[in-house]
Amino acid sequence: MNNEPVPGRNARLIVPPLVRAGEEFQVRLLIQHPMETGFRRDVQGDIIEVNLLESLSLDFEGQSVFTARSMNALTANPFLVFVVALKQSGRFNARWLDQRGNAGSISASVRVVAA
Amino acid sequence: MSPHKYGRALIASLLAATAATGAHSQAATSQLFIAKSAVRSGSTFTSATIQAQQKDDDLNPGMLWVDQGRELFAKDCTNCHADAKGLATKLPRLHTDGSVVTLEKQIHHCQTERVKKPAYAMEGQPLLALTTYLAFSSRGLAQQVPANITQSAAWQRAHNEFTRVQGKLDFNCRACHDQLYGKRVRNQNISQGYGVGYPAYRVEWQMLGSLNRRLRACFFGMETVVPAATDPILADLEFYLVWRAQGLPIEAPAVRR
Ligand code: HEC
Ligand code: HEC
Repeated sequence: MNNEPVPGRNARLIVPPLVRAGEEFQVRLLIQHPMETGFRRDVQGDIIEVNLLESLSLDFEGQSVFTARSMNALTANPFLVFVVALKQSGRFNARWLDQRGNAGSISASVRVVAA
Repeated sequence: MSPHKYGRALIASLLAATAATGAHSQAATSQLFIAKSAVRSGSTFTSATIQAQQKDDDLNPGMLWVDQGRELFAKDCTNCHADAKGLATKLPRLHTDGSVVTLEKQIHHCQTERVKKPAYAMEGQPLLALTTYLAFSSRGLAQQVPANITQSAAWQRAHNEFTRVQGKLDFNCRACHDQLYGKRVRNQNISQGYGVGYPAYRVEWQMLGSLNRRLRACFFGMETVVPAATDPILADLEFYLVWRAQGLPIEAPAVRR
């Protein structure tokens, strides 16, 4: 299809802009990806080639928060929530890669104030 | 769409209860079945989980399309449209030739005649992104309805279609959306059938889709001839649905099952 963007290019990484040190909060990640299972057919009846996100990670200032591989039971446009607590301000960075080699990433900063 | 999804699993009792409902003719003054005070948005018929997902923009997957639409709009459209707010309330509208201009058609027109670029494909992600962004920018506003809409040929065509009994199950649109709302069919709650939530993210589609696509799904469900996406009857119906909604505000991107 013409003009179709690369899967996994659009995403939202939602964090509160300001938190207290040590206070738990949610990091929410929503990725626009079809998560093709390889079982679906297009309008012509041809199998749509499998294309799942095969790796996904979240880090904070280079420190790993979460990594996952082979996410074949995830829905299309996966939505993930991580509960974290921070000691100091910094930047979250999420990255992912699908089976066709399309890579995506997004980052967001959180400012931490003394508890 | 896979045929077995809809299948023939329609509950028999529901069928018996609804056979041949299209024949009622309303007083000429008002063809509306549902009193204005009883009008309810489609969201109120969905589960609490789905409602929560729609209400919170951080959880609503439709916002991915809104983000992308905002970018496309800034790139190609802001020269002439400083503000996106309210644009979507003007559509669908009547063309001077009597046909109905949908939001998609208006965007295609602006793209080819004004931006001078090829139009985005129907149901493709860029067009859905633009329509969703425009509908989102008009959230809370009602779509405009021409004062004498019921005198237009487009309204009449859509009204005939809405009330015409068709398909293997002898249904018309009215049977479900004017009379059986609140009941269940094929494991879904039937709503009053308004378009104000669209483009909407449907869990069944695993993506966002247009009202045009939703309407085709209803034709499919009625086991009748499914009009092509470009069939003008679908545009007529979109126009008619705005009138039926009696001022219900736009709530796109809605989340639906
Ligand atoms: C057999 C019952 C049935 C018939 C007949 C039917 N629909 Fe539907 N329709 C549904 C169901 C089920 C849904 C999904 C749940 C809901 O109502 O929102 C739906 C959804 C809709 C929606 C979206 C509502 C929303 O808020 O998401 C619109 C608009 C609609 N139908 C219009 C029509 C039109 C126009 C026709 C006639 C061409 C029609 N329907 C015929 C069952 C039906
Ligand atoms: C060169 C100026 C120009 C550009 C660029 C342009 N439009 Fe328009 N647009 C208009 C004019 C003039 C109208 C008034 C109705 C008509 O004549 O079609 C309009 C009408 C509309 C409407 C209907 C609302 C109304 O007030 O009538 C929508 C929606 C719309 N445009 C969307 C877009 C989108 C989306 C883009 C970018 C892809 C775009 N337009 C680019 C000039 C423009």
